[in-house]
Amino acid sequence: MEKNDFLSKIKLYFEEEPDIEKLNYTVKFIDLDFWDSIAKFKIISFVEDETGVLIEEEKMMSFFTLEELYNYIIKNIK
Amino acid sequence: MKIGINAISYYLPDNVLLNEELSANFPEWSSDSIQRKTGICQRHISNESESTSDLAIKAVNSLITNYNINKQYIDFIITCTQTPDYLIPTTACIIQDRLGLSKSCGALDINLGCSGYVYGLSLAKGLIHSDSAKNILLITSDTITKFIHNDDKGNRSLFGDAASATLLTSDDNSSEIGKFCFGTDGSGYDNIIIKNGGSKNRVLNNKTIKENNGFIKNDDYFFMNGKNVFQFVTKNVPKLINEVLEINKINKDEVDLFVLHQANKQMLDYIRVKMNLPKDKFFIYLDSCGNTYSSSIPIALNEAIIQGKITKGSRVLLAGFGVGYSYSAVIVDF
Repeated sequence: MEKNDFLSKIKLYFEEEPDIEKLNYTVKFIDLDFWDSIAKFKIISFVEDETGVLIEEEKMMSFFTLEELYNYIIKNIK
Repeated sequence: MKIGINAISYYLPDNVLLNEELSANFPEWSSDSIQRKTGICQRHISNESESTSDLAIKAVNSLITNYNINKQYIDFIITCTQTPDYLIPTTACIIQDRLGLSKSCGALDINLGCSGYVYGLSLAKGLIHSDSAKNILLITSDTITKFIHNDDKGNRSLFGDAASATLLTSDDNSSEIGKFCFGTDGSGYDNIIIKNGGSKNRVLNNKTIKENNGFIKNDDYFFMNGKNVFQFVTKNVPKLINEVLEINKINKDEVDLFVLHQANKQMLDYIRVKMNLPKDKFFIYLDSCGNTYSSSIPIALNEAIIQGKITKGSRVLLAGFGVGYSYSAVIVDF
């Protein structure tokens, strides 16, 4: 998935979050108000739905930014 | 002759648990953040002396009063509950007696949670279609909060107690229940579970473990693996919705309102975005009662009717999913 498309699609799933516009490839997840366990579940489901890449919860917790997550997906996409 | 929903009512216990009270107990969660994450402002909690049949009776009495129903015409009761008054006997039998219904009335319980209402509709439709019953009372009632540990902040913030009552009949003026889709994946049985107290683990052990993430686990109480359930739902419910549309030979644009099990706002939003469904056709009713387990669909349905979102001629898709894992969907033409 193309990088800008990936970001804009993720944003759709968080469209009701007040600070969703802060999400970009470099902002740290923990600096986003909406970042919590449900946000992680949503991203894990989104990544599997859109790319087929399965991410374990512990692995997800190891990513600090969307850039790190995206790079992992690109490496693991089949 | 059409077989469908003729009347519907619900009951919520008087006692209310507000986000502010949860926040006072769990200061790491503000009341605003609970509301934002769950879509819930308050849940109704049965008091110690209020049982599942008590809630059910109140829902049925509301139905009888609101629609001026002669209860002697009711010839079958289906009660959907996972929190019965007793392990034995069947709660539906207790309700038959307490309501003073005819002794020729059939009565059974369905042990299902959030998918149970749609399953109940299918059983009722089958009974009427086979000429085994004419006026069926479908009850959903759960006092799930009695089985949630006081320190379980996640589930306490989500769930509330409630009961609903629906009358199903066959007549030209009623709504028409279409074809159903069902699904089961019992491999997920332990993702929503009360492990102790049944025949497998008869003895309660009152052992609470505090996990690294700050949540607690006690096998005597209700447990839900949020991540696994979220993934199960977001993967399977869109497929279920597409299947029920296909089997009823309609496309999603022809549905006037989608009424899904009111699990939590995040999960419902995910399904809506994934399926590209318009917000105004996707009914959410969580703020004033939370996730009411087996009653969430009939409560939402009733509220959608009250709010005028469902009127004569509306086509509604119902989908239930959860504990089991069990899932089910149907189209109802009002």
